[in-house]
Amino acid sequence: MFRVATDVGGTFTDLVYFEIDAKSGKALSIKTAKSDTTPSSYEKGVFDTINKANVNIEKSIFFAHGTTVVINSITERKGVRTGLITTLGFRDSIEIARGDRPDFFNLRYQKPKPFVSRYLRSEVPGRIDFLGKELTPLDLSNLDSIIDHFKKNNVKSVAVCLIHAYANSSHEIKVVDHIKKIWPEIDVVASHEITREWREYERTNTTALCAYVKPIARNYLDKLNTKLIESNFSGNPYVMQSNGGIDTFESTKNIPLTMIESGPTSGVLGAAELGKLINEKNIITLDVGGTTAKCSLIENGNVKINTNYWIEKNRQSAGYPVMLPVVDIVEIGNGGGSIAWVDDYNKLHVGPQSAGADPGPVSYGKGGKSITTTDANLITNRINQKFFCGGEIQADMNAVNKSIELISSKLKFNNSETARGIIRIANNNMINALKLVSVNKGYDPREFTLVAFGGGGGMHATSLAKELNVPKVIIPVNSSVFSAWGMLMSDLRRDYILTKLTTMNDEAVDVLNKTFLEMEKQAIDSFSLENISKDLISFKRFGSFRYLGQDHSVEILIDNGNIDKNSIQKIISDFHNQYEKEFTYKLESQVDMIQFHLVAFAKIDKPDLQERKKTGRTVDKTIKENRMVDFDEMGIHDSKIYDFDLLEPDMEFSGPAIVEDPSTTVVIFPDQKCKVDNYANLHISILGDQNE
Amino acid sequence: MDSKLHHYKCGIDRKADISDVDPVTTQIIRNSLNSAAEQMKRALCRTAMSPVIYEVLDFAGAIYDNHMRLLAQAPSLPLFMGTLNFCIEEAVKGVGGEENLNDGDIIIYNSPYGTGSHPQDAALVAPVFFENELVAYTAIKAHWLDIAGKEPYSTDTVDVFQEGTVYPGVKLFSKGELVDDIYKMCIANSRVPNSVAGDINAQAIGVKAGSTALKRILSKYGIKKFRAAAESIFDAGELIVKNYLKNIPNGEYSGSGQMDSNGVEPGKVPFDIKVIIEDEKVILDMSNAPPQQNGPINCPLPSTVSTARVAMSMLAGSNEAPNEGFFRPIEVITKPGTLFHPLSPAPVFLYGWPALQAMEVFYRALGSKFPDKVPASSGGCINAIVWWGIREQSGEPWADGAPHPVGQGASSYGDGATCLHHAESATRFAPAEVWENRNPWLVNRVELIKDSGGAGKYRGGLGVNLEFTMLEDSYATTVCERTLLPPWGLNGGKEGLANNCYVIEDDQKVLEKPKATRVHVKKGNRVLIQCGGGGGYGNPAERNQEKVLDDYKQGYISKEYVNKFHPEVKI
Repeated sequence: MFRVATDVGGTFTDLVYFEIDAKSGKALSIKTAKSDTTPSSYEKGVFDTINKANVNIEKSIFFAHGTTVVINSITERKGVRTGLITTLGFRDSIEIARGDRPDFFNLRYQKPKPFVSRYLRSEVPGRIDFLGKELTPLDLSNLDSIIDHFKKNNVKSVAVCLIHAYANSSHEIKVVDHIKKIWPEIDVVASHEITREWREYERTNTTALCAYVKPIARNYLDKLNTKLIESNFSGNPYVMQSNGGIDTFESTKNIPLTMIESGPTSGVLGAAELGKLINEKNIITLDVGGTTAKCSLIENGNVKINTNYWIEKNRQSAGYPVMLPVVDIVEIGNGGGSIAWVDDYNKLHVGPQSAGADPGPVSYGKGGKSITTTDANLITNRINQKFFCGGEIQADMNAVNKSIELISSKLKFNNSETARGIIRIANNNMINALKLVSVNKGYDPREFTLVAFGGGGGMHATSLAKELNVPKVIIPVNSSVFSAWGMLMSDLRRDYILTKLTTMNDEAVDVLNKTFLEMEKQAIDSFSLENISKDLISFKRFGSFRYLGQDHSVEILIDNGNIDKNSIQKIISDFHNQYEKEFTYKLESQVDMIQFHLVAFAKIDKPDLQERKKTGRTVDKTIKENRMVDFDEMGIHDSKIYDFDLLEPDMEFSGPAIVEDPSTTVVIFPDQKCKVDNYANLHISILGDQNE
Repeated sequence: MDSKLHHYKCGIDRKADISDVDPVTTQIIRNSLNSAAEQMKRALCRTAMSPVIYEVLDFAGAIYDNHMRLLAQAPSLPLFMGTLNFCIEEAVKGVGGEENLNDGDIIIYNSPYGTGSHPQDAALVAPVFFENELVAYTAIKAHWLDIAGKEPYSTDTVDVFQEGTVYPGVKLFSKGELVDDIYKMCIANSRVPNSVAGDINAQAIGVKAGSTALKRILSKYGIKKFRAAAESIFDAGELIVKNYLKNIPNGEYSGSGQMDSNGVEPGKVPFDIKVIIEDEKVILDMSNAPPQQNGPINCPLPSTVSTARVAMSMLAGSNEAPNEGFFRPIEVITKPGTLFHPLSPAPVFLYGWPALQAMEVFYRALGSKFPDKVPASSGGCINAIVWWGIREQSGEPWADGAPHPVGQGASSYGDGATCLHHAESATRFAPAEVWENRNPWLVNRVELIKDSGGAGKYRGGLGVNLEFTMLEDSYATTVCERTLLPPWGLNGGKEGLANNCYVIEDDQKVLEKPKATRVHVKKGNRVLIQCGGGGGYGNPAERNQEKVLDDYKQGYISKEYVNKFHPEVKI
């Protein structure tokens, strides 16, 4: 039997699968395959990898899928022509946006262009207030002419977002029902189906984006499903979601925008699952790929979710809000392919531009002229010049030395100093990102373990951990395909969010009980529509709380079951404590709950992982060679190079050392120790930089 | 130079040897300083009580060295940024000088002639000690919702004492301990004490966050490398501005602007600005200004200097946050006792409005000779409105306020943007759904104004109409400037629509109230804020016809507008 995960990336489509022993249910082996992504019909690339790996899809019991189809349609502006219906007086909200200019000193700043042009934005009269009370009844008398106008202009999908629909969705439901009645073939999305959170610009934009990609995503999932059925796949197929869980094709087709960060989140989820396996509850994750580095934080086994997510937001642009539960990830433009450059004022920078796969780093010898982090790691001998990309490529060190010379001459450095400088700047960028998810939110890194993966995770994690005062780094086995592994370890997950301002006093007891029960019923109903049994479902309740008048809130886990006056007091005191932890003080002020958040999980069977066998091999026998490696401030050392694939449980060794396999390099500094666990993950203990 | 004039320059004053540090370490120290300033901002925003701080970002947070030179600032209110060195200088004087500073002190200072602002903008200043030596300051100046004064917000004060309580540089924290007496005074002197209590806390947390982050950098690199890096950072900043200035020939360029009124007396208040470019140096001569006014439109010197700093930073247009080096080539000449250099007790409550005007007149002066280097006029104001009242049900006082964005001026680079702030870059527009929850009003519409952008080869950005219905009796103070001087076009471009503000009583009586204090808006009455458009750039006849047609299709312009400015386009 097989359990299969496929991940469609920009360049490659990855496949990871477990072969499962039918009797014991244990995973016998984990294998991977790769083929080119096929942008004209992504499902073809998916089946290319399945065929290449000889996976018998008939005998597969699980199929999970990560895809960039949504994010690509958005970033390439290849969605469908979308019409928008808003409350009277608010059709320009999506264009006016929030009015801020992140590029502070740029007088020529242009706002991001809305995804729905103004002539396709229409208004209907009718008004609800913030309590959900109807102030003016909905007037649908102009809706038919709006639909005619949309039809005439070839609109392919319609978004509906009305003011305060989070508090009362009845007007939105009526508008949608009417549209479906007289225009049954059109795709319609209403804001309350996506989220019931306040802030009209963010919700309108989210709804518009969802409508913009819906027909495309639906067609894609239908085609993929058809191919799976044709191949006699009899299990349930799932799609990786942005909230760190998987969900069914049916559910995803309704709100396909939930796939927007399908790829990056599975790595975070993988780290959380790995943590359960090896008893690490507090984890900071670091995923270093070719062009970006991504970090996230897991507290007490919980992946952090954020609904204030923006795409295309950077120092030059305000970007677009996506008001959906997305795993809280900080992403920066720093990866193995990030280009080092010197500006007009003699300052060295690394990224965010990347050499990509073509031409790639200078060392690839494919004509790249710009020095990248990977090239700098080759110069310091951290990456093996003779075993570059698993020996597939001969590192072109002549070209590297020639190109880096241009930077060295500007900085008046020798090439080794420049290479160290590039790595330091890249590390500094990543440190700042890691601080954003940890220190800046009141978390003490000394209480966390850094789990690093992706092609470049092991190369940088140990020096980052040192500076951040993280006591331990874990490099998972198969770390370059760790994200896809995460998908195989996932449960079904649906997030329900509702803005409902509730003062925390005795009267809150009823409101909390009633609201959470309603939300739980909604979740159970939605799962049961897809024949998912109630026994498999479990819930986690969260609430967002703030002091009266504040904007920013703190999310607190709330116990399941009946809520009484004592539980309210416990919630309040949990809030004060968490608030003080994050902000170093607390107030004697009224506490308000502003948001209800219910996470519904449906359990999926997962295989037990196979431990790596002990053959009695000694650690000396895993050493491939010795080479001189530059450890920057700690000097250049003759270092032992270990073969990752040969390491066995309980082996121990100290730095200076490098552990390598064809796709991973792990740098172990002279003052660090490494221990191999039962699954062949590396545990590296770190001596911190500062005594605080 | 006339001995009665005041000539401000910060000059170049190196305090360390740049060769003590390598460029990579400098770059890492620079990034770490920016990150430290960013941490100050985050700490403040996440803990602040008032939307005016966390949404409007009406504050500036920055880190200075012990010579009060700007090391790094968090993206926040640009106009405040150039004033913080003055705040620190006066705050330290207020407590008796450097020798009276201790680790853990936080000084509160809000005297308008030292902060450059109205008393509501209070600065907290924390000295940073490392190895028992004063090495730096962290400072945040932020807008408090109310600090006493005759009204929560005024357009008609006649001296500074009507504008709010003054804290002349006193310790709010001494050696890490809260000075309870002072704290109680701050809370007692506000109509919204809970807000102020929360915001003071937030501001203190902000400056402390900066100190902590800064100490980490210092302990990692040591004081010698740190100081050398600072010099190198300043030198690079200076070059950025000089590189812009070197493309403008030496010469004197003039521009004029005007204030609609001084707030207490009728009549426009015109002023002239001279921009002198002299060998990669820019001198902003504001000395030919009218005498200080009887109403609160006087702009204290620190904000006048800041105006020049912000205007230059925007023109130089680097995507880097300014530091002290940016300011070195900038000099400002003023005449004490005038609009741009008022003396106590001149009222200054609306100081920000002449400052914003001066910025655009600065561009206008350069644009008279080099239209391709600057934009046409924006809507020209922040169209602020401050509201307050007593809630019907709870009997609790409430107050809220916000600036509102305008259309931006077109430039040789293209159309002006819609609904943005010219200088309050970070200010965010409040969501109606959150607003209605907080305050007793309904937002009827937030709508782009057709035809409000000035015509041209490139069109000015559109303005926006915001209309509210009050659900309870309330009071409002409105400050919309430039209702009488519409946004000018540039290089043949046409004017945009001017700002205004109206109170609509009983659905029929329309009262024009662009600059008024304590307007009683009765339950059920409406307020309309008309935020103007931007000026156009270049001859409208040169506009791409497809763009004209698209503007028409989208409803940005009317048929009449097309016929008037683009008669060659048939629709």
